[in-house]
Amino acid sequence: MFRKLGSSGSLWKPKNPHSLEYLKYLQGVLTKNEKVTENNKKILVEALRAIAEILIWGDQNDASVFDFFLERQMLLYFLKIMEQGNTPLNVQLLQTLNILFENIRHETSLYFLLSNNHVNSIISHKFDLQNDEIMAYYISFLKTLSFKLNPATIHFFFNETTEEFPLLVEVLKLYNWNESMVRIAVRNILLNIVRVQDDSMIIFAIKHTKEYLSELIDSLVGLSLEMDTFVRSAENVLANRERLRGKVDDLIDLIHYIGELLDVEAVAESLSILVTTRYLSPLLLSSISPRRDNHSLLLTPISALFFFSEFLLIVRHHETIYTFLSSFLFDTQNTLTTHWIRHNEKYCLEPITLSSPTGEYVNEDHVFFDFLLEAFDSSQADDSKAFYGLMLIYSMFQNNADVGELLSAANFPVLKESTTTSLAQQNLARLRIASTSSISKRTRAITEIGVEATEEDEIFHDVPEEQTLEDLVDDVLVDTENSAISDPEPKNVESESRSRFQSAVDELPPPSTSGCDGRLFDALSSIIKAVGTDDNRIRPITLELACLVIRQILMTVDDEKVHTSLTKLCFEVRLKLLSSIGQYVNGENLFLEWFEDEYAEFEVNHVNFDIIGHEMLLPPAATPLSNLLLHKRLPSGFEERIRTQIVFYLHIRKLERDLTGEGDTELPVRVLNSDQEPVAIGDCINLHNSDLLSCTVVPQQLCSLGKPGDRLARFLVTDRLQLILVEPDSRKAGWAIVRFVGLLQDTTINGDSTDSKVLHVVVEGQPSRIKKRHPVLTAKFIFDDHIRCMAAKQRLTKGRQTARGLKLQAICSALGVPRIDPATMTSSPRMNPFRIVKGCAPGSVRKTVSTSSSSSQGRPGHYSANLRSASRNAGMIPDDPTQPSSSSERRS
Amino acid sequence: METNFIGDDYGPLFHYQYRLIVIGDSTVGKSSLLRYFTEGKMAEISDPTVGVDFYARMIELRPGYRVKLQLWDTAGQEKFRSITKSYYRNSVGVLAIYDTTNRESFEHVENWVKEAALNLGGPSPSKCVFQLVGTKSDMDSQRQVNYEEGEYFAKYHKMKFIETSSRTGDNVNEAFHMIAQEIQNRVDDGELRPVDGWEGLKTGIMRSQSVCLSERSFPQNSSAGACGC
Repeated sequence: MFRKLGSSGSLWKPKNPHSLEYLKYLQGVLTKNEKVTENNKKILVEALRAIAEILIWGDQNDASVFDFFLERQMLLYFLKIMEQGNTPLNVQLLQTLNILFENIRHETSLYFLLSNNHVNSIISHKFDLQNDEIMAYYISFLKTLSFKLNPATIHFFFNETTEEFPLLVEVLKLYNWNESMVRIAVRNILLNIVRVQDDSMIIFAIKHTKEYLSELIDSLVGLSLEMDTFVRSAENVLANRERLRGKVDDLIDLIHYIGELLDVEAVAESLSILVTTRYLSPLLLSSISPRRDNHSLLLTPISALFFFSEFLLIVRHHETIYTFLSSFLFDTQNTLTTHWIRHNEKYCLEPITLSSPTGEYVNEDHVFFDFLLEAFDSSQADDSKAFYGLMLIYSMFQNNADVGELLSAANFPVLKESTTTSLAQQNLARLRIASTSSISKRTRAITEIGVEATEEDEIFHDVPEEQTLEDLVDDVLVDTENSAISDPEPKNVESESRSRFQSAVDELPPPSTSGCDGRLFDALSSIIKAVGTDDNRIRPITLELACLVIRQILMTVDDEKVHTSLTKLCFEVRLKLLSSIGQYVNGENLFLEWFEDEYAEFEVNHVNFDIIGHEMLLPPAATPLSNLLLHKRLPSGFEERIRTQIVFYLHIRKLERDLTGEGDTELPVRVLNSDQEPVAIGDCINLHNSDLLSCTVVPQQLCSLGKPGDRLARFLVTDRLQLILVEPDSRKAGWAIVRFVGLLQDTTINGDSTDSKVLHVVVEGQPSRIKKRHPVLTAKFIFDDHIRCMAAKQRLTKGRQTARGLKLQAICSALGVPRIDPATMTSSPRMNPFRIVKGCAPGSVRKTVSTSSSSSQGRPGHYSANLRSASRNAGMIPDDPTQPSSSSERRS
Repeated sequence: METNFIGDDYGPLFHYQYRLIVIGDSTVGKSSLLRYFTEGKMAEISDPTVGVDFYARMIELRPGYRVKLQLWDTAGQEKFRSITKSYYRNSVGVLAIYDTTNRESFEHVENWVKEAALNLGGPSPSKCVFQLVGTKSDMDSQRQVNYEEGEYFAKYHKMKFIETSSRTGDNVNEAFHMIAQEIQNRVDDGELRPVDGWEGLKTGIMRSQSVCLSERSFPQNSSAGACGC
């Protein structure tokens, strides 16, 4: 019943580890082994571990346990053990303390543990921190303690009269520790400390954290430079993106941390100055203006724009953002007085010494802002700059630092309550109408059956106000009246020609508050324009972001001219895109799938900078081998180019319709089933006089019908578009219950080489925003005899053809392209779409190329029928290993 | 560590356990009083208490009838006020301390008592016992508060009163006996009783009749021994 324990001769070990008696026993162990030796080490470690356990148990179940701990002053034993400096014991001791502080719920118990400087003597004890285990427990002990800090408990840690604050002092010694876990914990602890509102402690903390804060900003500089070097040199492959992701995460964590510190009043001011003078100005702003000194360390514009955007997205400290943005928007390059240089493997911030005033740089106003506009120049080799320029504009809108005044002073369109004009609201209303109608028309279209219901939210993700349509219309009406009263007579000739609403706007000081810098709009339009050109290097995600930004601007900008010119541009570009995809609608067998897939993809909102922010940093990839989704890279091959153009088309079409306020009644494409509601699972249908084929369905994969191996007796029916499996309704003769519905257009049928009564049927579900195309039924259909099997095959094959024809017809009318029956078309041969390089060694696969980009441009799609399906899988082609270049021109 | 009469490994034997809180301005001598009481000798001059401290001692109210006193010593400094506040709830008695050589500390007693009264817990907080204690009674030459003033204040607030010296030990034990006896009286009258979830007042642990070898023979919280005396 009782076990005798080593050196603690007279101690009986109680059986129940959760009892006061057990703690008494453990206390006995501690008393009898005050001196730590090799022999009792194990016993003591175990005792310390068990003490933590029982104290936590007692805290929640039996108050007498902690009373005993108090009465016997057991904390003092802990300190005695600690001072003997035995590593395994100290590891356990720190762990025990950590558990205690983390879990004790009674505040009176917690306060006792914190009282009388015991904790401070543990914090300042010279542990062997080179020992990883000790370090890990020590730092998490400190972290646990820091979470207990508040204006009441701070006095346990900080002694005002003696100016002692071991927690802060000790933790500052570790900020540069070589392990990131420790550094992150240090950051947390310091944040927890400065957040405590206690005046005298804050004075102490500010004094002692000065150097730390400065080093913190410098580490941001270091990380940024390091990441930029990586971005410059790495190719866009999965492994590099993973590495980059790690670096970006580190950097963003750091910015988040700085943002959180900036939210703490106590350190905000000094940190704000540090971050502005050491990071934002000498590194970011310098990098987006012409180089003035050969020694300056600068970032590539892409990285600079990216960091700038992230900073705006994360930090919301008003002064910091205000200073930074006003420099960015208004200052000349003279504002840059310091720069980072490399000095003996270290980065140093030094004053810029302008060698001679003959330097080439021009001291222009808005030099930084001009740089942003240049980023959109579509004549560039790739769209990375444009993408990050867009990201910057987007994040300026998203920023929470309340700098709207500043932005509008720079002719930057921002939505502000004070300057929201009636016309702007009208625009908003119009855009709203467009979006709501696009929602409402998405009722139960036949295309969507057999697909999980798509979510209807987030379609119009950039509407900043939660006003209902009625409210908006009301507002517009009220404002109209108001403006009529306040401005009965137009003041000049110019305003007469403009709308009545506009004249109201003119009264607002300054007159251009809600305007938009024309150059900004031109820059944005240039992306739209570029999409319409052959040979453009725009990626779909860039266009998507551009549309998003344009919509956001249109919320506030009420310039009819801008509106009309943009509408016109969209119209032109749409026609151009249509002319290039239109020619494949009738010829390409798989156009239907491409269009449907890309429509589903188009409906997804990809603008999530947590994900795409860093994926776009590396040079644009042009091959599926990069493992990037198509919308984030350049297309490779014929099919991908068509797909990309379909996405372009859809975005432009949507934007155009938003501008004109028209709803889209034709997309998503629907084929009405002779005015009948489509059949759904569970429906009861009358099959009187229908062609029914009895069969046994054997699922090959788990599906809604059953699991593999089930044998289900069903009847097969088809209508114009659907394959339907029913089960007779036992209650009503001639009626049947629908058990499965799939689209004939997505059904593939194969015979069985060994059994002539069997058909192999695969039905795919339609792609949606949530799910890609995927099989919803893979099954063997067994018929009674060969004839019936043949009949079924024929019916399904024919049905598939008809259904696809109907669907394509719907797409044609949505696009405005005439539908031509492929049967009447003669196919003509086309070139081999890819280049074959003989003797390409395995593993030497490099970047692949949009292989036929130059060869097939401008040429109509005459492709042989059997190559069509082949081209679907022919995306990956090894390039010549000796020629790493990806430019197609070089080959032609 | 083996302090003051709190039993051995077989568990202390007592009828009741009272938890008291000691409050009053900084430097009035709360810690010294408690140390003299629990350690039986005059304490060195000590640093101000940081947060709270804990003491315990068994006393005999009458032959064979023992109670255990658990004593929370609190910091008098204003900055710990919110910490010490949380200790009132689980106390059955309050010792309000002032320094007879420091007028101000006496004047602050009223606030201390008021705060205590607001924060006491248990089944009937109004029945908890208050006692006023003047310290440093040996330093007559520097006295700023007369015995009568203390007595009058205590009477007015219906408290017991005593003056003590932690240097000579005068009245130290008596002070604690006095409050313990008063609590005992109220327990006997049924004005105070132990309830679950309140640590102020608990019934004690009595050794059972038989000689035993294992801890099992000591039923905790057995109320068997608590009544008959």
